[in-house]
Amino acid sequence: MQPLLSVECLSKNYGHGDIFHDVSFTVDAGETIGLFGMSGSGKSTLGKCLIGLERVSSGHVLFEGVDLFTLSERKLRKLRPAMQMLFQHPEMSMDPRMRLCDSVTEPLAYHERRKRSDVFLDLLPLIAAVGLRSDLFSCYPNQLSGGEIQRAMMVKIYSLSPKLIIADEPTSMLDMSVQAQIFGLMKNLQKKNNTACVFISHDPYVMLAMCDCIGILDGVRFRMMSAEEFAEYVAILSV
Amino acid sequence: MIELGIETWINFWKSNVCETDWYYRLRQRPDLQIVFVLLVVVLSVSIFAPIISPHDPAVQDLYGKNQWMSADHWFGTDYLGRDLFSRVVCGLQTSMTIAVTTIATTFVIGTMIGSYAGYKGGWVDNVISRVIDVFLAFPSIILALALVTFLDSGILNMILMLVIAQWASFARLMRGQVLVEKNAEYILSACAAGLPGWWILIKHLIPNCIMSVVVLATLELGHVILTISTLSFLGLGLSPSIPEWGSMINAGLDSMRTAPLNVVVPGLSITTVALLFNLAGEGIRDIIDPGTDAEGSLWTF
Amino acid sequence: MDILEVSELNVAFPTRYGLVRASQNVNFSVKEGEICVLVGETGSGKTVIGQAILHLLPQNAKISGSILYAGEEILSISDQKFSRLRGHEISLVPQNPTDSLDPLMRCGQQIAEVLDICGTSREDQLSRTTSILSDLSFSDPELVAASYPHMLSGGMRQRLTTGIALAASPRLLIADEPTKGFDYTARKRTVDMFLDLERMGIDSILMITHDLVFAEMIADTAGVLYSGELVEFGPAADVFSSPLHPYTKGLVAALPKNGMTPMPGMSPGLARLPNGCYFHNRCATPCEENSVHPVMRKVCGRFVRCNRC
Repeated sequence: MQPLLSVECLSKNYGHGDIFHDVSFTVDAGETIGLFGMSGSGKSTLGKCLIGLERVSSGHVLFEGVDLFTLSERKLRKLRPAMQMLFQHPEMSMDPRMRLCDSVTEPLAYHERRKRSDVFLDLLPLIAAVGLRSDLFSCYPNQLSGGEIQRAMMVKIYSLSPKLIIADEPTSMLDMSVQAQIFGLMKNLQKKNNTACVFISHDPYVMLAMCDCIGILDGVRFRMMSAEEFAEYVAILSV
Repeated sequence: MIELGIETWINFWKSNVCETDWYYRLRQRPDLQIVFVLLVVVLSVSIFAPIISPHDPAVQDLYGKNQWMSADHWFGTDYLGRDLFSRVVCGLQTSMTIAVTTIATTFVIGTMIGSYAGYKGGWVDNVISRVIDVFLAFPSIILALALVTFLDSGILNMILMLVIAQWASFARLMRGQVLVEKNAEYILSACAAGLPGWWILIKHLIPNCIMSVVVLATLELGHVILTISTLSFLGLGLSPSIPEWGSMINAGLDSMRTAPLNVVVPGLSITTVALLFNLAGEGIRDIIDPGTDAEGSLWTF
Repeated sequence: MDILEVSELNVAFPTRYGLVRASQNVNFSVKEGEICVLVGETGSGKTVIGQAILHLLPQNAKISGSILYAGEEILSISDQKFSRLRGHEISLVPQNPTDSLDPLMRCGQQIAEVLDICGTSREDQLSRTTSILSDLSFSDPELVAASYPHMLSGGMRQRLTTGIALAASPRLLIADEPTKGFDYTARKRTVDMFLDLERMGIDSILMITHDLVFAEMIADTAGVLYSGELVEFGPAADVFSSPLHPYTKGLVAALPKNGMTPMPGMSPGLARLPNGCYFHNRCATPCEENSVHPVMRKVCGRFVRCNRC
């Protein structure tokens, strides 16, 4: 069976030295892959490259067998809704001058040429599923907490019924108890929709709790590990 | 019916304006409230100038020239016996018409060019940036002087001249703002959702970058009024028959010793209005920017 | 002997939504020679406590209560008098190491600057700077002293800001969110560094953080803040291994290594605090009636604010 996403020998450099090089792995539908690395190891850049938000220096990213970097801008845009990203800074991931309901309904309203109010009605079950009150959506992002925005972000992302989600440290700016809530939600939604997820983090315990197998970016070379191998790796790391 | 209408209006005001942050910050700044009230006064004076002015600004009275202030002529009369108050009021209308049209045109042109350059990047940005640099390299008054030699004097040409001299600073500010905002995560998120570039530019980037340009526009409004007066003072602006502050000072210079009001009245008007617009510009910036809470208020001077 | 004793500290801010009570009846003490950690999530009023101790609260804050430093009242004294304590007696490790260093000054100079104000002679400044840096386990202190902040990594910058805070050899060090934005290994190194400070003659450290894992690694005594109140305070080992207050229990269970069991609901927000117990509607074992606001009580050697305990 063809994997959902397959990454082949991906490299990126900014003129001065490599950000990462020779990264290869595959992601199947419903699977969660972790990308573990310390700050500055290029894991966020890699995440953006995986869904074609940033160009790579060499290598291929095949999404359902289609190479993202050979597609025209127009064709890539058609493909984009299937690949979504959850960002690190919740206070920056919603347009500060738009009410939450407008931000959340915008992509679907554009793609399906429907009225935002209709789209919003369709999203109500999803909003309930992430545990938000619908009246909260008349607020602007700066009136809400990070956890609430990250939940709303999940509504926005899942409204596009994506096949792949890149989660770039979605909780590193949030409190511990909120982190647990968000991860619980992510797992539930992922299971329900059979979504694949690439999970980027620097916290090894989060990795162990969330991922099936883990790729390590530590400047030496990229390698994939199963959860058990990773547990041993972490044990060595913390000595 | 009318009562209902007023009530609806009050409710609308309460729910949509009183709840906003800028209204709250404005309430804490009595100095800015005064500035904005004065601004409204200036704007209404300029709109209703023909009604307000007690005399025809063009009617000469050579027997009653260079009069001091009196009940009939509040600011006295000029060297041709024309009523100075009426001339100042009508001059305000001329200046405001030119300034507002200029700023509105520049605002639209500058915002469009600047945001496009910032969003596109690459060679498009390079070319536009260099053009902006060229325009900014000339002081606007020199640029205007150079253009005067090609164009006749007149209100439309004056506006054209000022637009050419001003648009670059708007475009540069807009470009800078877009460059900062373009890498924000909500833009990436919109891009990842498959929204096209023009949509992101119009719906997300421009609304988020526009406020600093609005502030610049208010500041530049005062600047434009000054430039108009400067050009008229140099004899390059409007024809002397149109009441305008700069040309009033220019014409009054000869009799400054004997009739100081000829120069002082339009001079003070220019200063006041330019100052008012600058204060208003900074005030708007303080009010929309959540970072400044009651600090930097005028009272701390 | 208590080096810092905070009792009945109340801090409130007048805002357009009414009076926001950021800190309510907070009582705790830091003993000499121990590391005390206050753990709290966003909106728990943890930063306000640190600011109150250091006289850094905004002008419009309404403050009551008392803060004793070595038996001496410091909350109500004038800023001028307090500035004599700053640096020598109480010092702050600021939250963001990158923003709190002067980018145009060499790192060594930034430490020497503090020494200069303390009246250390020119010759001694250099040797003191080097010894402070090597105490903070920089392998090449001279090189670090000669470099600019942008040449250092995030973790190194933090050790440098700690070095600046240590330069005037204070008795009490206050660290505000020392691990914010740090990755796993940088956090580990921060723990080692703070544990090492005792060796360098720092008596006591008060740390304010949202990072429970970090607190667990480092604390002697720990306090947990919820909605502006201290809900549990006691020896760290007890607080984290057998928490008594349901909020602390929820926090510990939500840690990734403990299986990330989420706690329901969200913090009420300081502007709209409910009557009675603030934690009532999120509590796993709620009281039948939520009319009495719980008071701090001493239970098995620690203080807990819960009607059930």
